[in-house]
Amino acid sequence: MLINSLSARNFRKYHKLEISDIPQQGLISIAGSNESGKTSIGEAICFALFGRTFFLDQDNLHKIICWGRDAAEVTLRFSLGASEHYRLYRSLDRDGTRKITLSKEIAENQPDDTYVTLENEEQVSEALDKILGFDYDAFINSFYLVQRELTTPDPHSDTIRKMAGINDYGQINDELKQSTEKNKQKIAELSPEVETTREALDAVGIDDTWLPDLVDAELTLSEEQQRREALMEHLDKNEKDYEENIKSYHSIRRSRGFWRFLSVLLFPLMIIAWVLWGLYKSRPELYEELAIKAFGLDELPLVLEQTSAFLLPAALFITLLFFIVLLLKQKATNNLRMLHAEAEEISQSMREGHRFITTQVETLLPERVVQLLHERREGESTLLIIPPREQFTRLSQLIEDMPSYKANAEEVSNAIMRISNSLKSQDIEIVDLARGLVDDIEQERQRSDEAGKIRSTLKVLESAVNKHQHEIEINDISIKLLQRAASGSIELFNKNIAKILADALPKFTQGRYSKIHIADDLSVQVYSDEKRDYMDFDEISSGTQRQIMLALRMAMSEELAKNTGNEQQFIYLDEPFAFFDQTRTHATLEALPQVSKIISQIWVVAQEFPDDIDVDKVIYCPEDSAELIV
Amino acid sequence: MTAELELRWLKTDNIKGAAKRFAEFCKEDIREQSKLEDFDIGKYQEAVKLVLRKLDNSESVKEMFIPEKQQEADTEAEENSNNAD
Repeated sequence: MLINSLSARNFRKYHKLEISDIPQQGLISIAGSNESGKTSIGEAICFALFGRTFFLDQDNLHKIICWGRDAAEVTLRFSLGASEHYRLYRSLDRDGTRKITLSKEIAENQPDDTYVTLENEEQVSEALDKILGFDYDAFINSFYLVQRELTTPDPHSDTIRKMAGINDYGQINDELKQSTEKNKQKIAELSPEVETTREALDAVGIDDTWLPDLVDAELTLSEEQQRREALMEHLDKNEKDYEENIKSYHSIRRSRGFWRFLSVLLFPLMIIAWVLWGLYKSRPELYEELAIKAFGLDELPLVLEQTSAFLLPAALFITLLFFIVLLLKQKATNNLRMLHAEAEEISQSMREGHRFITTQVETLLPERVVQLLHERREGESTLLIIPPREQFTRLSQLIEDMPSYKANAEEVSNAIMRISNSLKSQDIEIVDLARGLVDDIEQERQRSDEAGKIRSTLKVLESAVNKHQHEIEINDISIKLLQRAASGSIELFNKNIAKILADALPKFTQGRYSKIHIADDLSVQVYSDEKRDYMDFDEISSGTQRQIMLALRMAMSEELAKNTGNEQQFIYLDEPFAFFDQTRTHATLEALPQVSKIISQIWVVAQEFPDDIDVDKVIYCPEDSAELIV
Repeated sequence: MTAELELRWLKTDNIKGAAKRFAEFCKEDIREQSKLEDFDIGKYQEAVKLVLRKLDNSESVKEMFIPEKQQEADTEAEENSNNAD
């Protein structure tokens, strides 16, 4: 936090106080004689930030108002880093009425209209606490050294915890513990409900495999029924088909025998005709000689000579006839093959029918469903009994004989009728059973739906319990993490303080003291090169004590700034050199701007400053004027 | 994947103050903790995020200066976004 400007009206001795163009780093000297209003500047800053001063508590705060005036007001503009600028206004009148506003600015004197101005005291205090990261106690123990006060804070105080960056840990730790308690309470509240819901689910006693078993059984029965019905229809038709086919089969078989005989007869004739015609055409003298010899004549008779001219048509006719006979024979063969196929199909249907009625349907169903059916049915079921084998003694032989139409049509018809009757009675029973199962399925579905709803409720409850349980676990891990981080931070804080002091102390004491030991209770021991040993704090001179305490103050302030996110910080030191001789004052003033890169804006109040010290802004408080504008 | 890599989301540049110191501590701490048998990186990360959220008040400061109407609109937009997810 760096101060950009400070203005006040009717504050302490000042009717008008305006300090602007304040450098972000370097030394700002506030000089003046006694009663010139040097301390009032620090008080104005403190009042703006915390609504009080070091010397005036709430009961006496009205004393900040300038004598003869009704109200005092202070406006403080400050920045956090390069991008955060704030304007803080606070006033108090003699009636005790307070006004406070805090607003964001784009840059100095340029309000940021995107944001609202906070005007509620509680809101402003909360915002300031978050923005600054330190409270009044931490402020007066670090960045605001009040006149002549140079002490270290209580090592167990919040201030030290703030400086070490662990002050919020305690609060977070408490929050986490509270959260754990709340979660435990929630779990305790939910547990009976979870238990009741579990009991309700147990009471429904749903078995997740039962419904699929029932559905599966119902589907199987339905399929079996459909297959039986289809087969019965098929068998009905097959009975008639076989009767008709067997007649056709024998008739076609006879026809094929005749055509086969004819083809055997015509084939040699066709060959002879073609040979004779070939001979007649190629060797007529030989043909004639053969004919004469064949008929035992001296010469070829006229009739034969004339007939020879018809050899070719005769050969062609016989050939044509032969092929027609072949075609007819083939057609008969095809018809027979078709009839065989039909007979095979009929025999297959009968075989399937035989298989149906000799297979126990229960073997196709889940065991528990069969048990249910057994319990439900009175008497024996046709589904569960294999029909007597003697009923079908001839059936296997018939099925074997059917494809070749050796089986008697009447016998086949009787067998089909018996199979159909058995299938029909099975079918009726299957329909009956399936109907029962449909009711079971419906009931089980309703129970399953009910269980589903309970399960869903249980899932939500268990999920909530798990969420709370998880939060407890994360809280526990966080608490342990915070404990380790706190321990690490304190260690780091001590290390950093020692490091800063080791760097600052020789500069402040002109090399007389360089080593320092800070105990856990923040008591200080300084190493004396002369005595070659650590000396207790009260063994050294008061001037050196104050130098050491000032260095310690700077170190602690740097740590506090770092741990509150203030990358650059002002410090206000009111009369820090009260017990210093000129040499110490000079050395300390020269060293102060070099001690810390973070504590960069250093306000120092003193009656006078050495002439050869580099000062970045000089503020001289006039003894006889109520106005200060610099 | 090493435990340190699991905390690569933890950018210490964007945070400051106690939150920054805590984040820096976690980057060191995870090396030790990951050696423990029952170490759960997921839960560790959740714990780190939880504490960081509580330590880092920069967002809550910003919110204090946002006009109420805009805050309501932002909340509504956030809720819609969550519902869409």
